[in-house]
Amino acid sequence: MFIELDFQDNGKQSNYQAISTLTQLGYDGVVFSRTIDDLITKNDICTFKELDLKELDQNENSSFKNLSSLTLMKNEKKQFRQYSRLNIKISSKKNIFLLKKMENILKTYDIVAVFPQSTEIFEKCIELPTIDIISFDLSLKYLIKIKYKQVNKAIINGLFFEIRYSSMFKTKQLQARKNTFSNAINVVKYTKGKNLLIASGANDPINLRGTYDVMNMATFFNIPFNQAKNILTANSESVISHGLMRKTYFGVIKIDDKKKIPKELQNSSDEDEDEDKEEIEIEKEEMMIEKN
Amino acid sequence: MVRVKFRYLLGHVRWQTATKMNSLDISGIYHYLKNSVKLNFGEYAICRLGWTLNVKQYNPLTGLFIVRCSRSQMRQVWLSLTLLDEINSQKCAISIIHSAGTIRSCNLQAIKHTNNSLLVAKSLIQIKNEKQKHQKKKKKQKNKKLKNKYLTNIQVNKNKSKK
Repeated sequence: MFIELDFQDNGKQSNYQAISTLTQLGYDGVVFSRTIDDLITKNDICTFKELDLKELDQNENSSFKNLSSLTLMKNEKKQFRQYSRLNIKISSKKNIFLLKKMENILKTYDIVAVFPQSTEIFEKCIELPTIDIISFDLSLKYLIKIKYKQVNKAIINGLFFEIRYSSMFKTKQLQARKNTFSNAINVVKYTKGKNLLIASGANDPINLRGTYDVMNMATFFNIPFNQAKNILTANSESVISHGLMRKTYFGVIKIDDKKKIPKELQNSSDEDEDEDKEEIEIEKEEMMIEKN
Repeated sequence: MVRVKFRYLLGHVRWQTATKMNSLDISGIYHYLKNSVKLNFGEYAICRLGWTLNVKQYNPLTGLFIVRCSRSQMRQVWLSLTLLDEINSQKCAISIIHSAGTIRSCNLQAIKHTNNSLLVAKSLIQIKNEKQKHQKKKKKQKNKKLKNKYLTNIQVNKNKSKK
């Protein structure tokens, strides 16, 4: 179950194109994301609605190259999954308290990611309970100083680290490609392959690559080949379950829409209520018999 | 005996705009491939590849092509293909479907790949035909209702005229 963990949300039609290319490349799910600088306000509530995939069948203007693999979607067991995500860039120390205060707004998203811009912010982000992913901007020349002790603390708390490969596809800026390679090897060295994720922060669907291509790219980051497949399949699903735990008070209660329940079970009555009603009727009959 | 062993890679090219690149040849792909290997891995990698790098087949309609390389340098050629960005000043993306030791198995996989895309096209045509049938049924029902209305009106008028 390969899931694409980062794709910019630019409206309905670009999302349709993205889904049609991803089904060709072999993915089974997408996470649409949105970026914010520093301040979190009340207007940042999640406004993402899942796209109706049956409309793709009715689009007659689709060309041969962007056809969606409808055989995947016709099987009702295999459905294409869609989630929402928020990226926060933090550059000043004073704004870290907002991540704890604005908890109710962060709970509307499925995954929350943080981009720390200095080492002091990185130390404080490790102990936050409202976060899923810590990721870095890999196209810069000097990366943040990472230490083994802080990374081990984060792994015990259950956080994930991320590598993004979309900054390698800018041919006019070759310096960005060089920097991503060296910084990615640095990140892998400190995490030793544990709790790692690989994603593409792409705007266009052209910058997306297939699943086996990404696995081959991971071998050049000094990730062993056996771990590369686990990183794409198992870790990406565990992030989504970590986000669910964060949303639903550690998995105790979950609130859903009524539409997601199938129609057969919506108006069903419990068996306990029927039993209680029968007992009441039996008691009434006995009372009537006693009177008579 | 020691024998030189190769790997054949099946690749698929997709473009940003839906124009058909009829001007692209096998020699064009070879030229751009060699440049990307030189850019990413240096001149030493080209010297190790030597004469074993070759583009065997290319189909401009579907975008499938087969590349040959020596067995030890397969992953480096693979990475240089994924990082290939521009061909003839147009943006493109390459994804590799299959890697094998003979051309014959690559051709068999290419047949499976085109069969899958044909199934998708067939299912779209089926959906179109079902839609047209559904629309025709609705029209027929509408016409029937209109006919019944006319008939009832005429009968009423006849009765009135007689009286």
